[in-house]
Order: sequence, then C-alpha cells, then structure tokens
Amino acid sequence: MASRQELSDFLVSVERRAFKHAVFAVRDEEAALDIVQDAMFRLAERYADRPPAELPMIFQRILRNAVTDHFRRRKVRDLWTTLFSSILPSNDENSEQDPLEFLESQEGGTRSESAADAVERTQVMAAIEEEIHKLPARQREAFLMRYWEEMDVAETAAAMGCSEGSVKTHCSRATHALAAALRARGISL
Amino acid sequence: MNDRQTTERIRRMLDESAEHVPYRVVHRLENARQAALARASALAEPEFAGQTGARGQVSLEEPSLRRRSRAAAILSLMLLLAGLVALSVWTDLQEADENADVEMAVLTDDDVPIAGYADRGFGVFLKNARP
Repeated sequence: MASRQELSDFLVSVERRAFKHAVFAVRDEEAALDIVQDAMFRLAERYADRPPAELPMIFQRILRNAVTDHFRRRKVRDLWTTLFSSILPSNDENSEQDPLEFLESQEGGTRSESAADAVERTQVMAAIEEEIHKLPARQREAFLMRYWEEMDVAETAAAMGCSEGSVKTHCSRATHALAAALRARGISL
Repeated sequence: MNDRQTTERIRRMLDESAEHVPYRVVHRLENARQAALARASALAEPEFAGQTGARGQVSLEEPSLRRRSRAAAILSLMLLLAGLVALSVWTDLQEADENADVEMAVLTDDDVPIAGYADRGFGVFLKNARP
C-alpha cells in the first residue's frame, strides 16, 4: 500500500513526463494539463491503496484512458463547433506561447552553455518532439512508455492492453522511424 | 549507432525537455498534485476510522460498502420526507373535521343567542363541550 508520501513522490516524479506525453498526444498544453490533472485524481481516488511498484503502470493506463476520453469529448464538441462555427469567435491569439515564459523556462542549468550550444540543443529537442508527434499513436505510446518511462515489455503491454509482441513491434518501428527522420534532418544524436 | 544508443539519447533529450517546461505548467501540475493528494486523504480517513482488517480486503469491499451506505442514506431521507407529508395531511384532515363539527353544532343548535355567532370564544366552547 502506497503511503501519502510515496504517492506524492510518485506524482512528483512522473508529472512533467506525463504532461509531455499528453502534449504529444493532444498537441494542446491546456488540454494536456487537464488530462494530467484528471489522471492524478483518478489515481489518487481509486488506486492510492496499491503498492508503489504498481503505480507507474496503473498511472500510464489511466493517462492513456484520459487521452482517449479527451478525444471522445473533443469529437462531440467539434460537432457542435462545426454547426455553430459562423457565430463562434476565433481564439488563435490564445494559443501563442508567452515569450517571457519561454525565457524563464530556459533559466538554470544551461547558463554555462554558450548561446549557440543552447540554441542548437533547443532545436534538436524541438525536432525530436516534432518527430515523436508524427509517430502513429500506438508506436508513440509504446516508445515513450518503454524507453522514457522505463517500463518493461510486460508492463507496457498491460498498460496498452495489447500483447508483448505488439509492444516490441511498435517500439522497433518507432525507433527506426525516429532515427531515420532525425537523420533526414541532419541531426546526429 | 545502434537502437539502444538512439533511444538512450532521445530519452535524455526528452528528460531535459521535461525539466524545462514553463513555470505556469509546473505551478499547475503542483496544484493538481496537491488536490489529488487531498482527495486520496479524504477517502482514506473514514476507512481507517471505521474499519478494521487487512487493507486489501477493505479496498475490494469499498465500492459495495459505499453504495450500500449511500442507498441507506437516500432511503432514510425518503422515509423522513414521506413521514412529514403524511403528518401534514393528517393534521389538515383533523383540522377540517374539527371545523366541520363546530359549524355543524352552530347550525343545528337553535338555542344559540344571536350574539354567540360574533363571539370569538364560541368555537372553543363548543370544542371543549364535545363528548
């Protein structure tokens, strides 16, 4: 059984990566934050009594379901938005990132780097994220769970609701697709 | 470069990217975490206070126990409401019967002086005089 401190530590360790997972899936920061919050609530309400070792797999499954729920809701909302699109105002200006936030987020840890190195690293990170965005959803999920969350094949398969063989296939295809795409961009890792 | 090296370097870049999310996002995630922990604590406290035994068994029985207690609360509320309605109807009927008795007594009694109809205590007198 996970104590409150263990649950807190787990959420601290996983929350930023979960946010990035959600952003990769839905491509919308606000929606991603809502999804992560929803996943945290579900984990705390329903699975807080599980052993700490089980939390990563359970949380990934919850996060995946929360993303699916988001797409279901968006499908319904888009239907109504399409019907009333002529009277709804455009909110494109809200999606722009605040440059001050970007600068603030870059502070710390990279001060010793030269400006050129920092720019290059930022560009490489952006390219990697963009290529991960482009992966098919199943390949992206398998790749991120397996190599970023460091879950084993069995845990990934359980979280994704598929066989271990499928996980291996998805991971292999994702790795090759990413390597090829980054090479094509002239990025050597 | 082999697959393992590729995935390892991508992982490191992703870690770095996750470390540099905007402060607004970090703040929001922290708030969400605190709210989630508060919810977990709120659910855990009644179990520790009211139940004994292995935690695993409790967690398996949790949903049915919660459903039963909720059903019992709803049933109690419905019974209370039904009782109040029944009491109200019964009181109204009693009052109507009493008024009918008083009016009947007034109308059938020829000995009542004319001033009696204007007496505010006449109804009370008749009521007390009933066998």
